[in-house]
Amino acid sequence: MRTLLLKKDYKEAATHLVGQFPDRSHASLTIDSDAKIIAPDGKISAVLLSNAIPPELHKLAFELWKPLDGLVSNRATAVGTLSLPRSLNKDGTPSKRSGVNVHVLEVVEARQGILGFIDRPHRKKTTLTKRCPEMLDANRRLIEIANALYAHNLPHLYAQQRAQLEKAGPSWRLWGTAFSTVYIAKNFRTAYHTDRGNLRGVMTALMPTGHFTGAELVLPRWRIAIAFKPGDLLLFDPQQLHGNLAFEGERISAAFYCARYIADCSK
Amino acid sequence: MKKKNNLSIHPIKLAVRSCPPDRAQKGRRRAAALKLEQAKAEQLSALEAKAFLWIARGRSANIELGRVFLQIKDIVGHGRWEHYYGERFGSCGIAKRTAQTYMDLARKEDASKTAESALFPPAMDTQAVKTRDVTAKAEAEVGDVPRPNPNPVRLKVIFELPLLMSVDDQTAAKELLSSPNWASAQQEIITFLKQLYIKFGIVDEEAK
Repeated sequence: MRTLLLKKDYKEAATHLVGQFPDRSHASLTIDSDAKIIAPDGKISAVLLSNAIPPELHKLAFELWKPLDGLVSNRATAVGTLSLPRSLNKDGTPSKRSGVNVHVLEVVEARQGILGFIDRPHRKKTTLTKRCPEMLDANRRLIEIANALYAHNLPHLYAQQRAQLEKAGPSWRLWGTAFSTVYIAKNFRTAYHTDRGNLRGVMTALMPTGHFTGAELVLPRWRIAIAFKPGDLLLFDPQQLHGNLAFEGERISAAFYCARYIADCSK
Repeated sequence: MKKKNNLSIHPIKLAVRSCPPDRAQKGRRRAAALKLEQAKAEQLSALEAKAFLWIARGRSANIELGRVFLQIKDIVGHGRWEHYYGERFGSCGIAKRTAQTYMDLARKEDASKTAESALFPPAMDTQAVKTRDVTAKAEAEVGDVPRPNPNPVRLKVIFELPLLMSVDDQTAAKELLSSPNWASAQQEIITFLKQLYIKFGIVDEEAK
């Protein structure tokens, strides 16, 4: 695997891009094969492992996750919109709930779902997992492979994540892995955002599946695009601003991660 | 005879039994070797990560040094720079040509910074434009309506820190607490705690 040492940091310009959609011109380098990407500050930004997931596993995942129907109403920044009152009440007053406005939701095709365990407002198994346990259970092998690839390629970060999750106890882990949760995004082309609910200082494993072209992950701070395709696994720090380029086709992406406060039930 | 037989059978039984401990021992050895390998891999991976951090620091130090040299060169003047450099910094182990490279790096870095925002034009694909339009309409619809503050003020409360201190330290702390300097001391403690949050990875540096 090649190691790519990035030299230029576009931090100032990138901070103004939150909630904006990525454009192909935002990246001067596209990475599409095995690489360990080191940011100019010396931190590991991402590790791309191409063709690391057996086809039968990510194809099965695609079929199992296709029925997902959760609206993306709580992800205003990633949708590329403002957090506004969701709608107007009959008397013309705004609804108290804010997030993605209904008019915006009407034009957004994206759907989402969370499998496994969440830490907020309190630790629990997600509703989707209870409702459709097969979405998680039938993907056990896939999750274990993603876990093994993480452990093999970034053992020191993996050890940190696993230690944190071990504190939470075995009931909050996805089998013996270092993941507590799987976030699934269906046909979700995201604007620049960061993921706040993930454990800090470690990696999230991203895996796209489906039949699509495009959807490269752009990290504007480093002006790079990561062209990952079904079967690839991307280990990446989701605290970095990131978003996707437009795509055509059917795409589902899964993020395997450790929920930020899963080990701390007092928070 | 019976006894003898019994005795003669016994070692065979022992021999049969001695197999599993052998296998178990091998298994244990293999597990220990695996654990050692894993520990080595973790250590190597952590050290590599540390090396990359220092490489990055070295590069940013070189650029910063280049910036300082550029400022000095501005003051001493282009004609006197080479002589000045040799006299002041010649013995520091950084060749004049290397200093020049650092200055070029700094120049390039600063020049590209000014043009950075032009590198990120707004996306003009269908979805981006459509989302922006609908957002503008939705905002206009709820625009006059007072919206909840996205950054509500968080109330400050007294937070008790459980510190294990000697009696002398506790007495001194109490004295500080009742002194007029407590306000600034409190601020310093909070600042120090913030540094610890970063050090121990509770918050990242950008979020401070």
